[in-house]
Amino acid sequence: MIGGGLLAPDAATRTIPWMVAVMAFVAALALALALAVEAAAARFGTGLAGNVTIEVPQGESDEATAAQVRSVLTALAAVPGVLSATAVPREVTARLVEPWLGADLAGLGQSGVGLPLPTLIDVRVDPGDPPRQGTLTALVGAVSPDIRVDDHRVWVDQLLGWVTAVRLAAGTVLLGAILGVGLTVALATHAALAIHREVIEILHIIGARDSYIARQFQRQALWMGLQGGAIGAALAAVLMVLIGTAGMIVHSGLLPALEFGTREWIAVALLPVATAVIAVFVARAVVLRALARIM
Amino acid sequence: MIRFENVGMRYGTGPEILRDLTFTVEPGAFCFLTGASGAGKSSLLRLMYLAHAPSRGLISLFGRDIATTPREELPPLRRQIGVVFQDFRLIPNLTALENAALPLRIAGKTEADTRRHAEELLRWVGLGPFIEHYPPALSGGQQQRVAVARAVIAQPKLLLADEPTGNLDEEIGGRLMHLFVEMNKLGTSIVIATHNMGLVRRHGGRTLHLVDGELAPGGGDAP
Repeated sequence: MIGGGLLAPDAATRTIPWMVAVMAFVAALALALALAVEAAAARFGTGLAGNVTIEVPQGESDEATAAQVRSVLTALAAVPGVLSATAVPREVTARLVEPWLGADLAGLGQSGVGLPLPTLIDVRVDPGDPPRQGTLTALVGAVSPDIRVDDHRVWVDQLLGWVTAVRLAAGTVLLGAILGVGLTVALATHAALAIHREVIEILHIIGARDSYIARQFQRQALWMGLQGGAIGAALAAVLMVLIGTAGMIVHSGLLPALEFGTREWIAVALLPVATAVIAVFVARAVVLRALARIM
Repeated sequence: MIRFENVGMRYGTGPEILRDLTFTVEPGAFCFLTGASGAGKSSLLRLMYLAHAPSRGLISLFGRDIATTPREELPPLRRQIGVVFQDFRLIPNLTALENAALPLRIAGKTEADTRRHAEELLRWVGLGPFIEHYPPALSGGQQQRVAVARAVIAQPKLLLADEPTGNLDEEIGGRLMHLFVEMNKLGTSIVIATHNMGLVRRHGGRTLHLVDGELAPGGGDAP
């Protein structure tokens, strides 16, 4: 082809991709983390939404407690929307609290005696048609006013609040990164306009339209945006793999597991395209604005 | 072709460096623009090739009043003007061939046509072996010839040249002037800015003589 790029590479074309890369890296991480947190919270929330726990406190005797548990289970069996109700074995409950109370207090020590733990009843409800609010509370209240129903609402609400905060923070970081890429490219384009002033004048005098001249800068910006975005996305991908691996190692079960799924990887893979598009549009706008000032 | 009426020109907020210019260049004219260094020849050419707006007065080019012509209609007008700059103004990272071909490329001609025309023209000006060379690798005279090739390749209606033979030896300079004469015979109007009065005398034709930014008395004819 006759005539490749009309503009010779300058210092900006070598340094700008690295600046874009840093911002793309931050943006990729923010985006991937926000999506992953949202997905994890959704998984966790869905799990909790179909689950209610009933706590039957330790009665005067084991027999009394067992009788209350049986009464509750019988009552639950007749409630529409309840799919199943199972009493959690005492040993399982003890293992759940063992990390906080220790084996002795949980009743798993050599003595076999620990704190009086409530008996838990795991109730599976139909998420699409759950029992009416208050039904379960009224039902267990009739057995004993000390029996508590926990539909995990408080925990789910806190989780949703946390997800919203993460999403807001990620959105702010993403917006900052986009602005950063835009400003960087705008500054680089202004510098390039000054460096290539003579070439622009020649093209102008020969009869090139503004759009033709802008395309020369857009081509440079496209390359800088693609390069920078690709480097940033690659670095973010490496970190995501590390975070994913670390997440699997330290996953406690209390919080949702952070996993990067297809959606997160696609978002990161598309980042170079996004930075390139931003760079091209910014470069075009800057050049056209500058050219509009000359005859 | 070109009509100037009471035209003045200044750079920024500086003083007027061209004042009260009134003249006409008819279609098919062969015209010299003379004057001492700093008289305003290059500035007058800038007005003619639409690189600068006048501070006052009327400029009409190809029958269009430039002041009232929308900005987006100026590029097609500029494509009808070929310009040879005193300092060549070649694009350094394009080869001689690519530089010469630039006007056709901008005009959207096919690549095959563009290449064929540019090669022919560069061979004609004696640069056949240098078509893939970049400007920094060419001598001043060779760069000047590339600049001339770029100016004439699109067969402009108006050719403006600023000291076109200044960097050339006599033979090549003669060939270029011959090219200009031939183009003029085919209908291209030519305006050549020069301080080489020998050149003016050899070729004759109309002369616009500038003195301190004004045309010399006598309707712009040389004294």
